[in-house]
Amino acid sequence: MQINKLLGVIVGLLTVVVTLAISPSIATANTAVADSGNLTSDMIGMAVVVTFGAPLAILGLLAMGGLFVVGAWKGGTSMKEMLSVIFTAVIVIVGLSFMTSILDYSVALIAAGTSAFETILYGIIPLFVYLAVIGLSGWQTYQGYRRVRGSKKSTSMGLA
Amino acid sequence: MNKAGNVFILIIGLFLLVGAFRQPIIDGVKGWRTSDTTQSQSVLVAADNTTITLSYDLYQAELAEIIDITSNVTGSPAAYGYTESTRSLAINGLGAGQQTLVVEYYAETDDTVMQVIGPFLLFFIFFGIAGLMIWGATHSKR
Repeated sequence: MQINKLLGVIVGLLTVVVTLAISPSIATANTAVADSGNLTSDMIGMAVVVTFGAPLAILGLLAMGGLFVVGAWKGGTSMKEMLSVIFTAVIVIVGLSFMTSILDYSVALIAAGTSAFETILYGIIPLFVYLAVIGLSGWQTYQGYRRVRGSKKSTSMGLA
Repeated sequence: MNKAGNVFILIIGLFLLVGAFRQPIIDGVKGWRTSDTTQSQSVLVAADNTTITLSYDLYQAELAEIIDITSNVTGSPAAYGYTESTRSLAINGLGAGQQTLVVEYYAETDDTVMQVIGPFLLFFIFFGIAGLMIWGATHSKR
């Protein structure tokens, strides 16, 4: 059983290294969103969230590495978990790459709209999409936390 | 036996963290905090040295973060001084005359969030993971 704990620790460390290796791509994709030139006042909240979106996503993924290290001792870490982090990072990069187009489409929608209500409605779409992309890494971390907690509970129940 | 096994795995885990995984983590943080920047500047060199102003802050204000300096005039350019407040890079080993210098260096990221949290990242990662390992080992019931 001890070898599984060691493998779990190694998976956790690998997750940190892989996340850090991917982080420049996430930062670059986020910079493209920030520099798209479409972050007008109509894009509600976007100018604010775009400043800390990439670090938040990367820190969320880094936290997974730490969770895996703890999970190793609870017997709940495997290569599958590390692959899920890489997969999440790729989705975040692709999602952020789409953001510039979504901003373009929203600008076009706002320009086509005629009422102030439409401006607000279309202007909030990019914020929702962006928060969903960034929130994905946080959601993965939460899922990882639940898995670790679940392993802990099942371990405790097994001992009772 | 189980506690002894946990301590043994903990020692190996910490050894891996500060041994095999130290450099990849340091490199990863550096990759996140910097961008490989190339700057080209035309200068008139009277003797064999000159000073140019970098567009971005040199990472950690260390000359080791200069990747390469080249000139289109014969010479062996090398950086010998950097002033952080003015971003001035002193270069010697140049041939005299008008020339174009190309400086490739690791520039500090201009991401404001990273400028704030960047200096603490390595500390958080190393001590965070080491702390989690110790916590995991000491709280393990198996």
